[in-house]
Amino acid sequence: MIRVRGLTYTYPNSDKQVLKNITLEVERGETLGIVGPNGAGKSTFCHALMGLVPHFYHGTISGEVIVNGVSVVQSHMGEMCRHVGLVFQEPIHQFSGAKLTVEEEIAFGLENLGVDSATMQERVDWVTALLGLADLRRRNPYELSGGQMQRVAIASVLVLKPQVLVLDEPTSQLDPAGTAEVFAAIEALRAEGVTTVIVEHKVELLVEHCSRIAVLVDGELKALDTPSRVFSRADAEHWGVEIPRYSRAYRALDPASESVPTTLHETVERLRDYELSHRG
Amino acid sequence: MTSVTLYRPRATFVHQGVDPFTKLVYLLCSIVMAFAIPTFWGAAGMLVLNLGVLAWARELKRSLQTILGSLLLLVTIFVIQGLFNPANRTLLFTLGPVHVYQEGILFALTISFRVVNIIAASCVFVMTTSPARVMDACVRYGLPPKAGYVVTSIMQIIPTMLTSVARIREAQQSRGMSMSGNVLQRFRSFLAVFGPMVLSSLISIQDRAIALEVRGFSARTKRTFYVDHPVPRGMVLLRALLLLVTIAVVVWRLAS
Repeated sequence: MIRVRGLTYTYPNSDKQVLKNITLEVERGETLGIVGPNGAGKSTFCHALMGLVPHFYHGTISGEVIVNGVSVVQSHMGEMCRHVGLVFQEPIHQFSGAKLTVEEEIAFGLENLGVDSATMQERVDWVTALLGLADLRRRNPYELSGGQMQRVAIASVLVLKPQVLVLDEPTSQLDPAGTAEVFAAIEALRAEGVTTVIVEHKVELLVEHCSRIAVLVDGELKALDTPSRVFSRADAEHWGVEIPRYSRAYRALDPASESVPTTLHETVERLRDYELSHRG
Repeated sequence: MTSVTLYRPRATFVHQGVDPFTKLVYLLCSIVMAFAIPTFWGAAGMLVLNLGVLAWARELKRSLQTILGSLLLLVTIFVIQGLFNPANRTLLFTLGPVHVYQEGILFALTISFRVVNIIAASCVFVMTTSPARVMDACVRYGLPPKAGYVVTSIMQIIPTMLTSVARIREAQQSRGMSMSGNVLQRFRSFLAVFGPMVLSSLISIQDRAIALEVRGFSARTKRTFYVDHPVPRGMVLLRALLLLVTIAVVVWRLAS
């Protein structure tokens, strides 16, 4: 679904390469998590999947980015939104500012793409039901809570039925309740088979929902594997990325272990095995 | 958090019975007429009309507050023109060493009527029209979506900036910046607010531009509309009347 080969990018008026020879693939229906310290190039990578890099920001790009069989670099921005949906940090900045109600805000992208009225209604019905927004359809989007706003933001790009959804730190401005709402929405998308890429600092939440984790440090792809394999690596502590506390706790218990658990469920299982093996 | 706009929904004819595009035509015609109307009485009549419409919309109090905001500008116009207009000949009154002339005061009156009329007409448009409806209305009448969006953004720019200034001022005060004191201290505090405000505005503009792009705003397709807003009856006639009067005034002015 996503194929990135040798992606290297430099912003205009800068000599620093923000992305350095990134190569990765994401399968259809997969949920990929991206972690890395600030300034690692995570947001730039997200923008490259959408075509904002290079079409909006310009700069120098090399390598290829293919999403759903379409070359991002060679496609028009207006067309890329049919293939990729991008949600970013501040929900309020994602609203058009030109709509009065939640349902009108959600339909804004469909209007831009010239979708007919019946299909618009059908899509808005589908996405509001999927993300639990049915009761908020007539509300002013600016009067919602942070979590509700972010769900509206996700709905407003998901309604375009993109093959890939990219979420760039979607919970960074939200409280725990809002964060839970957004991750519940992500889980609903996973059930729908939407290919999802999530940039997130809340690693423990990320590993619960992602089949693989990519680690970006200073524009380089340092690791791309299952959460357990990524956080079991000896160099994981040097990336500047938070390591799940379950992994740290298990490592403290069993320093010789080749792999560490990353979620609560995995940890309970591993602790049972550990206890059994040490009893014997 | 609420939407940043000066519009308040009210059940008046100006709010509900006149469509956004007609109100935009009214604003544009008023601006042209403010410059084209050659007489004081004409300008005064136009002001009465604007204030009448605002009273009808129950927005007179808020709009008068906005007009009062331009008082410093108006006083400055009167002082400069009354004292230094090159056409000054007839002495109106003397205040110590200061001589105020009739020609300058009359010219200042003309300019002031223009300023107040434009502000009042802008209030009619901004305070009675939802920015959310403006873009759709403009696009329906053939304007490019980008042009419609610019009009919507202009309607939101002042309240957006005021909100931003209030937030930055609170942040600076919480870090010990004094917002009172003598002129120099006030100027310093102004700079402390102005810099971040410009920066945050630029960031917001970029975020908004990206938000529009990722939702197909620049797609090369004919736009459709989720909600159909029927245009009230008589609007075409009202627009035609406004344009005719404006053209007539402009022609009269050019011919005289």
